[in-house]
Amino acid sequence: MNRDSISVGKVIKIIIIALFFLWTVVPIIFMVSSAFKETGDIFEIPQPGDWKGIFRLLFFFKVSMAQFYKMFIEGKFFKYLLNSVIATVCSVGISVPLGLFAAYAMSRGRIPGKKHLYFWVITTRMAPPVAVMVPLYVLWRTYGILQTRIGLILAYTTFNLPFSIWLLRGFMDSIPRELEEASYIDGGSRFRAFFDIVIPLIKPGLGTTVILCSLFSWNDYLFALILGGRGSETLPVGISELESATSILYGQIMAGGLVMIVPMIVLGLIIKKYLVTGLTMGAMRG
Amino acid sequence: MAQVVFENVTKKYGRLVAVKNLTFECKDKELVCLLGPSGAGKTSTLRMVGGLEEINEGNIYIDGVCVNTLHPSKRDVAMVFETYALYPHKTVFENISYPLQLRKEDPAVIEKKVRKALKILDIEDLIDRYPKQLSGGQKQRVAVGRSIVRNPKVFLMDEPIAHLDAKLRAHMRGELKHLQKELDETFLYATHDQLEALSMADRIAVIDHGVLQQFDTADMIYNHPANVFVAGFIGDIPINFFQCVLESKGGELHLKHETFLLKLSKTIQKQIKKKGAQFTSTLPVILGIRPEDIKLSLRRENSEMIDGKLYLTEPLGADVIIDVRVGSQLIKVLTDASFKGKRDDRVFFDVNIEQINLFDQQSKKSIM
Repeated sequence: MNRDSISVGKVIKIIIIALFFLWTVVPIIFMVSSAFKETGDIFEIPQPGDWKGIFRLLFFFKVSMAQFYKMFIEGKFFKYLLNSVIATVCSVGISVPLGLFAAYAMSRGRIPGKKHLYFWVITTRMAPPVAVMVPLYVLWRTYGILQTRIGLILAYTTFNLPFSIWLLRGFMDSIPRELEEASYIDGGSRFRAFFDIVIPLIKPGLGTTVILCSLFSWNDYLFALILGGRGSETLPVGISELESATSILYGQIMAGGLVMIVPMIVLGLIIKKYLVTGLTMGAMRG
Repeated sequence: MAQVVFENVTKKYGRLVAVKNLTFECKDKELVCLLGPSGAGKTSTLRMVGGLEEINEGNIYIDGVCVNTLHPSKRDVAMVFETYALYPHKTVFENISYPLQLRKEDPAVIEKKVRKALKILDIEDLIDRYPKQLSGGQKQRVAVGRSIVRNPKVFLMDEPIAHLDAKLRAHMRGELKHLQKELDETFLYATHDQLEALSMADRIAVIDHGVLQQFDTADMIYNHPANVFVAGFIGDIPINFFQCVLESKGGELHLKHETFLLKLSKTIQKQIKKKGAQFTSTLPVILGIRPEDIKLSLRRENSEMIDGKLYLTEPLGADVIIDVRVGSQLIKVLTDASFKGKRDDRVFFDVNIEQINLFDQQSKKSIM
């Protein structure tokens, strides 16, 4: 009886996981295989009843780099990719280090009205980007940074910085103050304690922050379209332009999607090893 | 190697006064225990010496230098935290070597010093472990190791062994005292455990509600407590208090309790007069007698003996605590296990009159 109930539970678990797998992974498989096909091959579907044909079309097709050739050699995707990388790397490179220091001040500093300041910082992230788009557009135009990479980096930083302050402060609050105090007593300055104790202990938090900020900038379409415009088109904007009133270039869209997701997957895998929680466990008694 | 001087030190948290007008001096190479119940201000006091807490009023001098505004890293003190505060991302070696690394010492020297500290504490085999792989006792040793690896002016120990189990605590008490004598350094040691303080300290500062109650040797604190609080706080088996009246009759002093009358010895009388308690004929006092200063018997051996009724026996192995009802109150008597009294037996007792303590009922201060 007991055994049965366990196996029934297991079966249900496997079914749920399988459904979830199909739901999330099949579109990606579809995208990847389409990216490496000639445009004509993409629309080939198997004959009714030909179940093997599904696998043939998804996995064993004639590999072609035509879509990538069209995008990168004939099209301007190198520029788009470069814009995306620069905007993301710079915005994360500004938001995370600044956020780190700001979060430290918020967590450890004795600032009058700290609670309100902290709340105000996070409210800036609460408004949906669309809500601030028009004022930002006016501001950006006034300062002449519309359609520039710097404008785009600034726009992303406006949203990433409060987010990274908010996230990192949470992680810092969870580090016992006594660890830093022990470092002071051992002869360390505030800076030494920050670099020797705080930063190593919030590595999981840093990893999470880097990933989430990167995702925001990398996947953004709205800012890139409106503030970036012609001058600094990023990958999402570039991909959307493949769809026009007269035609939809599915092959290139699929290849573009692949170019979009690969860097984020790689980043995730690199950072994964830092995302180990429980590092502070065992520092204190008990 | 340094003395630590507290001069009218006051610490406030908002409206709460944690430490009030603390003034005492910890001599060079002395082990001073700060003893008091939780919330007495012991930790605040240590943290002020370490520089982790601002001093609101007064001054603290380490080695003659006023350290009030000095950053902790510049004070050259070592501290063992109650929670140990080991760096979780560093191994035992890295934890202990960290103070030396901050001082940019030569790696070979660091290695040697860390090995020596590990050897003193007998934890050489733990060198590559992380804190989470250590037991409570091992963590405690590593925390001590981190403090002894360099030669600070003062060691601050904040209840370092409070969270170990009883047996290990008794062991570490001896080890820490030995370590202090071995290192021959100044130790400031906070504890709420009076046994720890009595057994380890050269001198004890008893603190309650942030106020220094008495600062003296263990012997003086135990045998001549300055006030009712100290008398009650010190002693594994609590001291017995009796509400009495001190009477002067024909130049002789007597103690009158609801059930007995005690004649005071010449020496005690002299002590009281010397202290100059102000009273004309009678003075309400509190009599304090330690459980071991009462001699219990099943027979009335002389007419001076006070009688009571055996209420309860608490055997401790070699000794036994006997609870005796005297008049309306219960007292505790420590006697050896050969005592044969049973519940509800009529018992008689003598008081070792030389060992009594008398406190003014009003001021709660000792009058001898």
